[in-house]
Amino acid sequence: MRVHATVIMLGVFFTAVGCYPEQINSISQLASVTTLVDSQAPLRNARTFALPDTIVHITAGAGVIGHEGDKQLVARVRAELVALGWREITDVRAERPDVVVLMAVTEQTNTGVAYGGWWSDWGWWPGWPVTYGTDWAWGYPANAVTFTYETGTLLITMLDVQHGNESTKRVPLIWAAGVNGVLTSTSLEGALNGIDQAFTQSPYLERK
Amino acid sequence: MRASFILVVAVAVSSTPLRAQDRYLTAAEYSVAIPLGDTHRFDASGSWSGANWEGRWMGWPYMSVGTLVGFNEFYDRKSGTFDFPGGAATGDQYRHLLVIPALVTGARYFTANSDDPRWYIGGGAGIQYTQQSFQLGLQEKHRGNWGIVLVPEIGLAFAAWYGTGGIVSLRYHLPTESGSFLASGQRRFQYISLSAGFGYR
Repeated sequence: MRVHATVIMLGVFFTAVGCYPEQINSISQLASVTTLVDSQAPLRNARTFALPDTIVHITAGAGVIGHEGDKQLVARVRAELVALGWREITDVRAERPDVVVLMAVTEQTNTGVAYGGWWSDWGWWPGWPVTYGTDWAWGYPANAVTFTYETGTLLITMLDVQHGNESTKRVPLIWAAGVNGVLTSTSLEGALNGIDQAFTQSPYLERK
Repeated sequence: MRASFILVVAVAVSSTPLRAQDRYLTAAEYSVAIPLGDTHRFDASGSWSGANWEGRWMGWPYMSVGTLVGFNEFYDRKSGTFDFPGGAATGDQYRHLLVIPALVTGARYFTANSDDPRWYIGGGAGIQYTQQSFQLGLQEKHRGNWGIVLVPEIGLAFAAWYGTGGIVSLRYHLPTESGSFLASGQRRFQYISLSAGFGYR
């Protein structure tokens, strides 16, 4: 009877702890878009922007994201701002914009180790050991398998060029967006979608 | 997850009695919980993952003292946009809160005969470890904190067959505030748990 009761309790507990929500099964689930804002008067009053056509690439990785996508990324940011009612100033010498929008891409190579030294950990399985005992270990090539993946962030920053601090020589950052994720050959599409999302979740940029 | 697994095994195994004795009641409990306050703000979903090991010394007709060790987990994975002061974030979020209290408990029973089902009021006090995790896309942050917790409870203790018995308990978990969790400000992760356990006496 006691054994029976203990087995029932174990079953209940294992069922309970087994009810975890589904884990990550797609790299799209690792993508995120974060926006930060200083929504005081300089942002509320800003109506004009300048947008250089260059994206700075800060790459410490394999270079999955190249400059070939820069035009599309810049064009998407420009289109979003114009659609929100902002006016672009292309000749900044003739007219000073309220804000300058600068873009950058950072890329990192992430390395990890899938440690493979847990052959003996399967000793609880009734079918174990499979031919060899639990005192054996994994052989060649190694007990560890290394892997790498590229992650990157597209940064969009909006700088208030009307209210620079003369004493500290700082240009106020009034809005920023980061599109973050694992980089693949289809990452440009993800970055473009991320730009759309950054403006969608920033309704205070509407100027119409 | 691994910590929870180990704790559950420990709870279940330790419920095996060394010897049956009517003055003791030892039970392994399954516990569900409803988040309150800061717990609800962090993760509004209820907890279906929880367990306790509880031992009571029934040395008096109307009273018992004992100990309780357990855990409750609150976790939720969802996608979408959430706002925070000064911005917003969109992505796949995973929020996880693991609470592990270790309590000294006491109970006052309304009747004296321990062979009958007995309602009781009681409570516990002790230490509690709380681990808070938040993941957004590739970003993941964890914070752990030790604190003091008070746990008033009401419940029913009952005897069953062959020297077995059980406890059904409704507990309110009230920990001390701490500023050691994610984001700024003081946090107090409160919740109400409903536990049902079975064991030996």
